Amino acid sequence: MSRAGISGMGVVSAPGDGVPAVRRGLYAPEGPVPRLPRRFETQLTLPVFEIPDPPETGEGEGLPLRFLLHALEEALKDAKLSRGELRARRVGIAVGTTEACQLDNIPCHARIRKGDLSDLAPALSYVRGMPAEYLRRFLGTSGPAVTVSNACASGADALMIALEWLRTGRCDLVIAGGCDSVSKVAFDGFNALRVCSGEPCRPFDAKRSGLNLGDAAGVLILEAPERAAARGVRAEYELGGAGKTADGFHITQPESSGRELERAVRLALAQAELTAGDIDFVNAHGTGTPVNDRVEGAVLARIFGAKLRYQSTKALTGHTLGAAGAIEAVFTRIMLEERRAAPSRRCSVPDPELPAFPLRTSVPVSGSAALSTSLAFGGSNTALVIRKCRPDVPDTGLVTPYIAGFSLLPERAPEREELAALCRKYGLRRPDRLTQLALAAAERLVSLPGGEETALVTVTSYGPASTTCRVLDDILDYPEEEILPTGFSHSVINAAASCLGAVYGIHGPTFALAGFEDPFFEAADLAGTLLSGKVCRRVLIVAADEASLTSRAVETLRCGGVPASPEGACALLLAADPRENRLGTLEIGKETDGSARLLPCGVPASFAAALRSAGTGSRTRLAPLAPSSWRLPDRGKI
Amino acid sequence: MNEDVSAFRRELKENLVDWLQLMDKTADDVKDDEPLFKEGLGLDSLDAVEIVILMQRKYGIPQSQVENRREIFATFAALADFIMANRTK
Repeated sequence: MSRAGISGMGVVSAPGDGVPAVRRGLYAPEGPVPRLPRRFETQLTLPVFEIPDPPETGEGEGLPLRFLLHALEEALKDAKLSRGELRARRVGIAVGTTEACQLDNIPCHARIRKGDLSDLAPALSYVRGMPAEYLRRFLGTSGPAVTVSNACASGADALMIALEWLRTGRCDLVIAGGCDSVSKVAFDGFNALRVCSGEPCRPFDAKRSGLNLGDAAGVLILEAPERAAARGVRAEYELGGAGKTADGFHITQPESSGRELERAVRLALAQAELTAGDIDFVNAHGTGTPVNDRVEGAVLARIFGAKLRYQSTKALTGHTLGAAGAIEAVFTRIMLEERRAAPSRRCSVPDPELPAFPLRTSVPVSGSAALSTSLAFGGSNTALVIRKCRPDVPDTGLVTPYIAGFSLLPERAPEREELAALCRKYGLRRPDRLTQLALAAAERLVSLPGGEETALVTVTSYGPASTTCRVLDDILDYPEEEILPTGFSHSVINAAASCLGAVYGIHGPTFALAGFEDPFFEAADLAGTLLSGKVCRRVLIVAADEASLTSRAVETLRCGGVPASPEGACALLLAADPRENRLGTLEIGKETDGSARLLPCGVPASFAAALRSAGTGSRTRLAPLAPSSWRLPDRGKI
Repeated sequence: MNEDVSAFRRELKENLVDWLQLMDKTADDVKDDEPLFKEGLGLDSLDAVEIVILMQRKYGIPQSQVENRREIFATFAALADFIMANRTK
């Protein structure tokens, strides 16, 4: 059960709609050319790789989700999977995205801030449109579903989660991928951070001047190759290994030595049972920004030495953010199958400071394994190995985690003085409100070990909602001007994770999850999987949500008109080692708990109460809520 | 120092803490002759970009007029003097 054979793929991006088109596009002499955005107005002359809109679904789904559904259809067909077969199996769904988890609809915000709550449809479609949860409802599956928003590594992170679900036996089939579209907020935000190029991007070139954003979605179906073979589908390649580390350094900048990126690559190689010499080529992150390409090029040369062969495919696609890791895994498998590594486009004069130059023509592939890297905001590094399938081995099984600590912010906490003291303690100058709440909750734990063996999972429904509102105000109030860069960099879902990682020196895998259907349960379930697969020894889960104009309005409507404040935070530290046990063990429930009441941070009140009275040796159960308690208003009421 | 200068410096300190949403500092922590960046207030290059945008929005100083940034941002006092001399609103 434990190998993650790739039995189906679907993709849509600038070089092509569908795997066959992309297969041609990767090697075609003329690649797509980015153009000025056509979906929104802007004064900026920055080209982007937009692709044609997929068909309307009639349900008001956002663009990233529609791209995802399009790629999903192809992947399921490729894997010869029917809905009936999916319902009969333990299916996990992991999707990486940035735009689908940003509550950043500009016209909707403009209405809400004038007090006009008559049309909240875009905000409700955000609630309904969390990609992983959406797919679970759409396909009628019942396994775990997580939407991960780790900025530019999100798609690769979804694949790593899929691999761990399969290795541990948590799932026997996983639908994993990523989706994003070029939004005005990301466009203005990346411009404010001075990382966009006014020209078509040229990764690793001496004259590179930044990235171009792009639309895309990619989906991979992962399962044991034997299971696929039973349907007549040959899974020749597997996702053989994944490594994920955190710089714990800065909210947007990579740490200049690339130490943690190197560790991520080495972890992925080890899990795939390969050495650097076995890797034929590397599909690099290669965004085209001066800093990314310099750090990444140096690290790859350090690991692979003279044998290094690498390219960036972003000159064909643009930087597709949450989709990038997923579509690049698809590209990597295509190049292995075609036995030809594609060139790094528009790198006409390679940066002389790079220790090794990228491929400038396509070259034959003789090996059977390749690497794909993804680097994100906040120093989140993910490396994936795609290789020929190995024989199956038994799965690791699931362990029951020990609870090493739990804390819940009291109502009306934290006060400003407490937050100011925390910021001074850790040298934080401008953390956003959601990060402040998360930090105050984490700080209340008895002990907080950091290091390489600690993983961090943050959970939220609305994300940094008040910071997002500030960004939207900025766009509405100063339409002719640039937006404030830190407003944008603090409004991304993984801002809190980056900050907590830096504060506590957490260098293990870090995942920022977003969702509305029991995201805290999903996070605890994922933590159990990570501990079972031994990718870390402890997991810090921090759930937080903050009150903003928009989150209040949506929450009030979502909860049937009862005014609600969604603000709160809690922290749960889980460990594999019984010596770290402080409050007993955590059992992740299978049947649903229809009676649960949720605290503002999405934590079931019964779970928090059980932990308050728990002691070593007790067993605490965390069950998901019954679907009825999601209380989404039906379409007729909007 | 005349009263206008001292009153404006006070106001600007409060505004900076507010606009940049500095959590670890109050207006009293901003010293006239300390550097704004690295030591002193500890601002970074993105903060500089934001201050330039805010000078345009709040005081009507066009971004193109903010040349010689090393001098303007040397200390809080230098920044305050520059704004006082160049503000159009």
